[in-house]
Amino acid sequence: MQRCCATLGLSLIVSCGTVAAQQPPAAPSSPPFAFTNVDLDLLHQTNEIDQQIDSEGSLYTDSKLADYVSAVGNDVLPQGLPDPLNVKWQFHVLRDPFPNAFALPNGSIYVNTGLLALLENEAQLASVLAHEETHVLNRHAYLENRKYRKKALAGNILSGVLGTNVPAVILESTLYGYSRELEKEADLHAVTATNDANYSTEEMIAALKLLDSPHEVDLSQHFYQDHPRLKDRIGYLSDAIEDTHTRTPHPLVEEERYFAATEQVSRDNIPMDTNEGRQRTAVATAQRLVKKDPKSADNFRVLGDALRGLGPRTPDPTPEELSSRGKKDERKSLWKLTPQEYEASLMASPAGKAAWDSNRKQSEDAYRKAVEIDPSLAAAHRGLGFLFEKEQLPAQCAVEFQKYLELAPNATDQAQIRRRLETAQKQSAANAPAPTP
Amino acid sequence: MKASVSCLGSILFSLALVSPRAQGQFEHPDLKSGKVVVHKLLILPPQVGITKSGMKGNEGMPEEEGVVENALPSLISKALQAKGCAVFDDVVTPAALSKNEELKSSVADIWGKFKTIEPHVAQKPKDIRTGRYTMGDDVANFAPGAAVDALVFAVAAGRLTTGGKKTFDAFVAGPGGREDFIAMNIYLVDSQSGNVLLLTDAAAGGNFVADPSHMAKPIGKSFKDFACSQSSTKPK
Repeated sequence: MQRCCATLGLSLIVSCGTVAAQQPPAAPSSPPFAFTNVDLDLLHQTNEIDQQIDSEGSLYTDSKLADYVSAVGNDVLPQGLPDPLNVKWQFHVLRDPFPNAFALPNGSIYVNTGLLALLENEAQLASVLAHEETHVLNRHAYLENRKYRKKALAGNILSGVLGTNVPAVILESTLYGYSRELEKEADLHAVTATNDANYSTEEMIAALKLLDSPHEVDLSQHFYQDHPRLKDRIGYLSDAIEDTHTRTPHPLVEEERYFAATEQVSRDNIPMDTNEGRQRTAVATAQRLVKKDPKSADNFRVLGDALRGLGPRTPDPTPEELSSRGKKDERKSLWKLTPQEYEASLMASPAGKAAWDSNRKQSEDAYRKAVEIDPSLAAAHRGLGFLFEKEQLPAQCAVEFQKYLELAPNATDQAQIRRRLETAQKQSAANAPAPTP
Repeated sequence: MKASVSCLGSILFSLALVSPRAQGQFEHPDLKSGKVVVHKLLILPPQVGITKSGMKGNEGMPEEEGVVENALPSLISKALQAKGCAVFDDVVTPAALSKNEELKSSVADIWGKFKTIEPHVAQKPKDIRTGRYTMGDDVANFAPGAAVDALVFAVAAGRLTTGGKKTFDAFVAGPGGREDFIAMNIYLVDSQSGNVLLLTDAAAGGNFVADPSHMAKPIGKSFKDFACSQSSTKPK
């Protein structure tokens, strides 16, 4: 979701992961949740947020994929029970490259394209969905909202008495320090739910390890983290899995089915990753796609795109980048420089030039392979055109852009490519040796 | 949730950026010199964030945001028409978007692209005068922009304070501290090159949700040193 304010509301609602450790998991015997006016207000707001997300074009519109995610989500819901009051289960895919999923208290569960591109099989997706469903089933958002409002009132009085304008952000971090108990509750409930649906519970741990992917440098400076530390999570989940009586000797993993359902969204997520500064993740995803399906020209094409987008970066973060000094410098540069300026500053360094040289060669190889598999793949020619343009090889650039325009006469970027082609042709003509008299 | 603190921080920061600054107008050198001609403009659906500040904390106001989002295009359109521009404010409307998934996605994408440079522009708006900021020529791929010279992006952040909170603040800190307000940044971006051509900012007080016309005058004033060309480079 692009809009910050909507995100604020959303994060408030979905972040409700801190209270009521003593709240028992939803069970048929537990007393029904009593809705207050405050809860109904929140429900109304979440319905609005659903509409807002849709109207902003943030949803990934692929009905087949949506059906697939819904089917997996429904599999891990408690079977044979009516939906809880004011819950309508709906599963959506958000066009967002960050690996995340969240649930609104009205039963809307959102999975980012970035998460689908990261996960490796259906069992992992099932565990994520089961975790999010627990937040809804156990009414975590409503409970957290009630607690938040009480704390906010206390915070207002406290800041008033102190006579200071304590920023809300500080209040939030000090007063609302997030306990990790609720997330633990959701994790443990997810083990039961995935096991009940005959999925492999081991894959939940594998999914957690994937989320801790080392591809990008984590520049965030969070005051807190809402999920328990990864090591702790793996620890208690391992214990829970060991104690769980597996329902079937052959629990479902469904790697192939998952890949078939998510190959396209993984490809589509690659430019989003690149645009969001997650170039290394983009390359890793593309490499995984090529490994899984080496006959696909499109997979080689996106690998070419991802390597071109990697630009002057190494495929993995360098020790310098991972050091606290390196992170500080990068934060500073990203704050001061526009994306184009930042890219240029990296390219100006010897290490950047060396990295680009390697990435450029690999990118060209990937595009060539794509064209070899499918000579009519227009996007591969466009990629080559961009690559040669950046390398200041106007003649080769013009050839590739020309091919692209021929192969994709109705492409939406015709005007852009035509303009670039004209520039390349002019430069090429200017570079050509003068004819001998 | 990781996002909540950083997001709240960014809202507060963007409010801080837009609210205290005096009304300003920053023009790209090519626009000022006439090298770039701007006549036909397309207004994109604005992005509005409104926070209700009450004793029980801050809350988003999605409904009110919708009201302001619907009102802003026509207010901006009127202000620009008064400056001689031909404005298309009915192409990318909520109604049009609801019927066209592709358009909806492409609007979201172009906004996403804009958001990558917006914090930098807001941080140092004066650098527009040196032609520093561009969204890149990918902007030209936004189909509805093909027929216009520039795209209009509007970002607004507002705050409405509840009566209880106003009373409490007046009691604790004295009167005048918690007025309702909305601050708006309006950007013109070249529809082909992606260069940021113009930024104006405006701020309005009063209940801008109940009566959006509160925003008309400040928006009009924010374009005081700007005038559109009499013709466009685009075909009719």
